[in-house]
Amino acid sequence: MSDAGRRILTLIVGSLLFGSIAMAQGGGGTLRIGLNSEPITLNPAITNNQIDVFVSAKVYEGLIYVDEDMNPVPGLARSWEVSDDGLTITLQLQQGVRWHDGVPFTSADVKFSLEDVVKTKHPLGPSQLAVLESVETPDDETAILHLSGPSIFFASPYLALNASTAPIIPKHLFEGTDIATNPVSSNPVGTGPFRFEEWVRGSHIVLVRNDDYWAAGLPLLDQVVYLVIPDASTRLLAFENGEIDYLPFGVPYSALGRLGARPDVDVIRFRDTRYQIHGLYFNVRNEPFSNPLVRQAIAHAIDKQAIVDNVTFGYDRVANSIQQSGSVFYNPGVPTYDLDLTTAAALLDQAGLTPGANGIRFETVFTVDLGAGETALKTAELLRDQLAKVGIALKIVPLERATFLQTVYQNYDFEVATFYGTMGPDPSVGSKWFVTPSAPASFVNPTGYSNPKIDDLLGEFAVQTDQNRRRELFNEAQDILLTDLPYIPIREDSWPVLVSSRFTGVATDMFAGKADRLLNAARR
Amino acid sequence: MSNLWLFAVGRVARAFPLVVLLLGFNFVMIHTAPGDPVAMLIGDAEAPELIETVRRDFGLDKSMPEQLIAYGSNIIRGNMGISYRYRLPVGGLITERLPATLLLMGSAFLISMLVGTILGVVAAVRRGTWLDSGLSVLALLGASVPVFWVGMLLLLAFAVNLRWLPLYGVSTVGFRADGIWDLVSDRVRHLILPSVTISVGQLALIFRVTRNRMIEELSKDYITQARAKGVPITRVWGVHALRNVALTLVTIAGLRIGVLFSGALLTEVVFAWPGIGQLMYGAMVGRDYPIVMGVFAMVVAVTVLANVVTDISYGFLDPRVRYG
Amino acid sequence: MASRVSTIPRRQWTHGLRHFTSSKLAGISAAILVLVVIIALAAPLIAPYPPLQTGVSPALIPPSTTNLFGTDDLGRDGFSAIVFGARTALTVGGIAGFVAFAVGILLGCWGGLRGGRVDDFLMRVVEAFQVLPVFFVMLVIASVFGPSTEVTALVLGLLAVPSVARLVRAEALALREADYVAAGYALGNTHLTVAFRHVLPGVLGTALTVSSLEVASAILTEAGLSFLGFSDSNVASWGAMLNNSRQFLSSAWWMAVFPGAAIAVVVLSINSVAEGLANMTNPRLVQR
Repeated sequence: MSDAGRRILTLIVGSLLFGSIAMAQGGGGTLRIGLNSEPITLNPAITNNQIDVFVSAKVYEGLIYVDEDMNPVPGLARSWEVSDDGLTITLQLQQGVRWHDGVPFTSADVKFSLEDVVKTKHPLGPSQLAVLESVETPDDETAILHLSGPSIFFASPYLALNASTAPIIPKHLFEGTDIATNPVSSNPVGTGPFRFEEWVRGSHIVLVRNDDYWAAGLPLLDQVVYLVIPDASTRLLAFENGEIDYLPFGVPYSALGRLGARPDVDVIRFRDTRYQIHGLYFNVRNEPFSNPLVRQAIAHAIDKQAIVDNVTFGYDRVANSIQQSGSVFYNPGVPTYDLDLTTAAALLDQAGLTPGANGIRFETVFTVDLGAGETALKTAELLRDQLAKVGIALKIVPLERATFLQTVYQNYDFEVATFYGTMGPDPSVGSKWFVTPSAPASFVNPTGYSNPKIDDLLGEFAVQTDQNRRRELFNEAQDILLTDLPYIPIREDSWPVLVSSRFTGVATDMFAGKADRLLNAARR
Repeated sequence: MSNLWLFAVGRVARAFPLVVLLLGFNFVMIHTAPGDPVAMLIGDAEAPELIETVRRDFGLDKSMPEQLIAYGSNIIRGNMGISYRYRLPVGGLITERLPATLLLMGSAFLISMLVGTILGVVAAVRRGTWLDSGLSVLALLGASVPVFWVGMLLLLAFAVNLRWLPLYGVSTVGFRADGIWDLVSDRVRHLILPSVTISVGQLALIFRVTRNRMIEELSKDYITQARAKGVPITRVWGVHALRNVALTLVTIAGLRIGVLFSGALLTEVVFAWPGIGQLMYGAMVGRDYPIVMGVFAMVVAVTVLANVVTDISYGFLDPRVRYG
Repeated sequence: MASRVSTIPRRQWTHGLRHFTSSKLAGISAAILVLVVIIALAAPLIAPYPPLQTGVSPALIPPSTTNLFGTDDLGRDGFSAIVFGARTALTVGGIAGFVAFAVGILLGCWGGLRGGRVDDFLMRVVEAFQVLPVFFVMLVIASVFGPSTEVTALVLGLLAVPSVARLVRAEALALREADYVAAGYALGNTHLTVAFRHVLPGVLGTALTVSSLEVASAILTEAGLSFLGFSDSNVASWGAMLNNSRQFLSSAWWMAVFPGAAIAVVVLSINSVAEGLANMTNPRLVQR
């Protein structure tokens, strides 16, 4: 046999035998989590991909966390102090923390991570940490952040310094290397509750308990295993068969009713302050959607309740504003558009769009973002039927995320498109959807809607620190947006996840969940 | 150099332009595709300078011809580029996943060859009986059902309802093996459903070919003569006739490598089998051009190679071909 | 063209016809195919609901008298979608088969009759194409041009040309040497005349058989592409239905069973008709 042949044979035999033999553990148990796609990197400092953060946030940590009621709690910073002018933040770091390789964690790691990595290489770094001028390290346990100006992110230190916006990575392993290709980026060495054990690409990632974790007695689990199963149906079947304990992403609504009824399954949802808004937006640059009457007519023709009932099997709720109704920034007085086909038809007539001989007023293309989850296409299919009733022929063009981003956000080559966005815990994050963008970019306002009044309101909103004034500003903005209707909100997405009831403390809070450390998760 | 060797060298040389052409096609195709890989890579990014950096890092700012030349020269050196998504060399990603796919294709190949030939011989010997017609109809059905549908039904029956076999993957992650046989049995249990799924179409073909060629061979003079000389009947079928049929089977197997690959891709998606099919599918969805190009190039190369090898071995076995 | 058929000995045709009808399976299959074509043509009359219309019945109800094949997760009628899906399947298969047939005959005749360099080059190209892993090529193309039934069909047809062209060429090559054809050349016939008068009738059966096999494989390939999500969501497609069914595999078996069975039945019928055709025109072909 040739060398090449022998090598291939070895590989095949190897694939039969090798892999995950060494998995013997006992006690606190193993939590098996089903992922819908594989992480790109396990270095949270250079990524904003939710899967990357979700996995690596068990290994790496942020400085400040938040509890279920959005109150900041200590992370790697045990306490912090913001100066009166808001420009200096002094952090006292946890003592005696060691990286998983045994090297002590110090303020130098914080300085390195924030200044040299997150600020320049994290996708959101350049904008969110724009005001971060320098990090001063008077001693190993103190880091002082100097800001060049006020920023809403730093006004609430959690926003700027949480585990996904400002993860702390080891200076001694990354300094002077190319961060992205550094092997540590796929074999992470952090300070977190779990140590990295192995990553078999295309199959699974194993993390094991960090016995030297700085919070005594935690975590409770012995092992966390991530199983990569890109296919939604296989993933769901694996959960149903008890081969997976926790499905954090891409749970089809259709499964909730069936599985939710089982005594051994818990359906956990976002707290409603964190619901995401799903809907659609128009390209208001061109006919016919440049005419607000047409947009209002469509709002009257959409049966939101039917969409909620059919797409989410009644699990979600109808959205009336671009801010989720559970938020303190929600304006309950926004203009609403009841299902009213007569009014819709009248508005279209008024806009000069009368039905042709075949009953069709106009044809338009609905560009669907398949990256928005399984609900996007189904919503579009329902809308096609609903709009047909008022003579609008909708043609559906589903696009994969990459193509969608380019078509819609770069080329503005669309008429109507899927909207799917989170306004964040503070809507200043979401305001980028509505203000006039400086340049085409992903996940900023692609509609061509540009209203100086909105720009002013949301501009002030972003820097204003008085919460009452901020509420006023955002209420007014919602009124204007729901009158002009560049966006039509349809549904508040509750992001249901499935957890086996054999476990407790899993997915207690899905917003923090992205950076959740699974500290209190355990077998019942 | 003998004629045979000349034939072999000529055959290899003829395959070369084809490979180059296909790689060029591949490159052009994938680069005219819509969708910005950089947008995919960065995700929710707001920094134009970051986008530029990534674009430069991956050579996407260069002109098409420059990128093509870079691609060509890299391929020759066995370097298939860096995956946008994983930021790792594509060659490594493919070799990492290839064993899983080869294992799947190999088992499917074995199953179809073994079962297909046996059933084919049985049908030929029992020609015209209900058994023969039954098997023939089944074979026609086997060649007509979509491979992924077979996979879905098998999954539904044996993994979901009966729970005899595992649902997905190559092994049970977190499985504590009690010795090597336990481990092997875990692997084999995972292998059964997907390899049976892929083998269905191939099995049907092998069956038909074996049956028809056997019938042809059995009617030939040498068989009658052998029988007349008192050679045992099983020996006549097994040794003489089947040996001649085997030649045809080799050819078919070589020509079917491409089909086997597509079957593997669809099956890997159904059973979440972490092979190159999954890798390619994920890459197509995520616009990871280097991976798509890499897997496609590899599949084409293997397919062409299989054909060349088949032709040459056929040439060595059957001298008439060389002069044809 | 029927009058030209006379170049094939009549005896062979009648013998073939008897053979074709004597094969029960081929007969039944032909009947099924005719039925499927009728269903596809008369889809709007047969289907109780528009195939893509949501909420015509409650979601996910099993087969019943109102919804023969049950409904899917959006309350679309499964039976209607299957009926309209026949259109998509036959369109893809039909276009692909026709392209393979027409272009295959053209190239095969041209190469076979001209011989020499042209033939050499053509056969080199044909050979190259034959090796291509079709499904992978289609995946690449579908992702570049977007999911379009027509493009898919056209490309599948072109990729199938080699298998037709190769056989046609072989027959043309053999015929070129035949006495009556040589005589025709001597009388001043052009290649075109020869092609039409002698070659075409001789190769028609073979080409038809191989093309119909390509119809079947085109339908399967299209189903595979749709199954992976590369399908036009504005038309009903069996593959796409199967794609959607997977999420409901353990709770709504009917969503997976009917579209798959539809594909299997149509492809099986085409394959066995092709076999019947082969028996009729060229019994040796089946024994390949």
